[in-house]
Amino acid sequence: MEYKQRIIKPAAAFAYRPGEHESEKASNSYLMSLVAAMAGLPLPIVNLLATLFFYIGNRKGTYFVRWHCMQALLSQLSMLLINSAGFWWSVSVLFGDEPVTSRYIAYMITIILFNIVEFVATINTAVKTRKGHHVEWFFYGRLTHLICKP
Amino acid sequence: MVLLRQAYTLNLQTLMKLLLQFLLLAGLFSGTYWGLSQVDWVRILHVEQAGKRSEEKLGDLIWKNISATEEVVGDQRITRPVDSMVSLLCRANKIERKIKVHVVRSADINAFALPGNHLVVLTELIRECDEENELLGVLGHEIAHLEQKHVMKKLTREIGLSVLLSAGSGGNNPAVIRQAVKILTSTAYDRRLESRADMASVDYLLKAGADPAGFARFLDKIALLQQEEASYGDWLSTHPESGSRAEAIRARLGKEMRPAGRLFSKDYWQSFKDAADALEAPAPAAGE
Repeated sequence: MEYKQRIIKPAAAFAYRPGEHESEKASNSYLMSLVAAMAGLPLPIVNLLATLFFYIGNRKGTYFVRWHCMQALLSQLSMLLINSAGFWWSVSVLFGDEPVTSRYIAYMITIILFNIVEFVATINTAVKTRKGHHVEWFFYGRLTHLICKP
Repeated sequence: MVLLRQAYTLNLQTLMKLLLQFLLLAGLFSGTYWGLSQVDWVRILHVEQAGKRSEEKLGDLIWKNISATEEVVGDQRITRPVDSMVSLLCRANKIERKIKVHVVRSADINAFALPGNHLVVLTELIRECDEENELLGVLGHEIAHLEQKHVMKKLTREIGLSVLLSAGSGGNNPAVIRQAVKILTSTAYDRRLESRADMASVDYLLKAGADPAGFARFLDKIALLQQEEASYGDWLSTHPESGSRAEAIRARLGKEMRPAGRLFSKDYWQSFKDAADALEAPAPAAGE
């Protein structure tokens, strides 16, 4: 759920330019969630787990890598919440007593829209991070700063 | 060491900014959902009509499969009273009379609902009923399954919606149809749905001026048969725990005043029963 991205040149945000290896790992943290989301559809937890494992694997990495892993993880966490609601609502519609209502369709459209925005933002960030740029997402960037310390 | 563009320390100002951004995002999500939910998507996307069309087509395919393999009874002395009973229940309960009633000659004590408002009653079930209230109770129970959309729910649960829709929308798939027939004629609905259909049947009968105690008596009879013959293969297997269900109906009725009169004349009921009794049940196929 990102609507504004701030690209901060590494020189301004970090005292050094991230190395090739760091940029690749940071970029992979975003790509990981996308690949897992596609592989694990329709289960909304798969991409979160993939991002979490990637974060755990890199928790001793450099600050740049950890920071981006954390931002990817936090964004996936909120997507998990809204996607899970949609998933279980769909399960109730398909296998339970819940009828297909306009509210249900509206919710599904809403989460599809937000997932598309998240998908585009994730790809965009993965590309920019791969080039060594530091991208902070609206809300998530600030939250990541609070959680992930140098 | 890394230097941040600005210091992000946990102070009130940072928290307020974070909270504000969170509220903006949450507001955007809620606002989008609220705005979209003002649209009547069900009507625009023709959700109900599309579902109904598929269900009707699926029901027709299933009935075609059953009628091709079973003997459909055409004797109006049998079909008309059953049809009248269904009409009576529908009229009294303001249910649109869209149900297609079929009577099939069979040695099984069974009645079942199919998608697309088909209701199938087997002759052995009619033979087993000693009075009209028993049959009315069973018919009410099956009408409730149709009205409460239990049939499609059960099929969806067992087969899967996408497969059903493909079978019902022209993707002729005999294996799916055969599986659907098997599920609807030989497996039980879950206990919750059975109980709901029982209670709805009780209400239907009361509104129609019939005595639901007859339905409880029929279930008692079935419970006895279940004890005697474990492999009856019919309403016994598709409607388990008949004894406790009869008890639940009696508990629901309590001391409620119930109509005692007959809805159909004694002669009418007797000629119906005679016609059904005259139809000997077909011999079970070898191996059954």
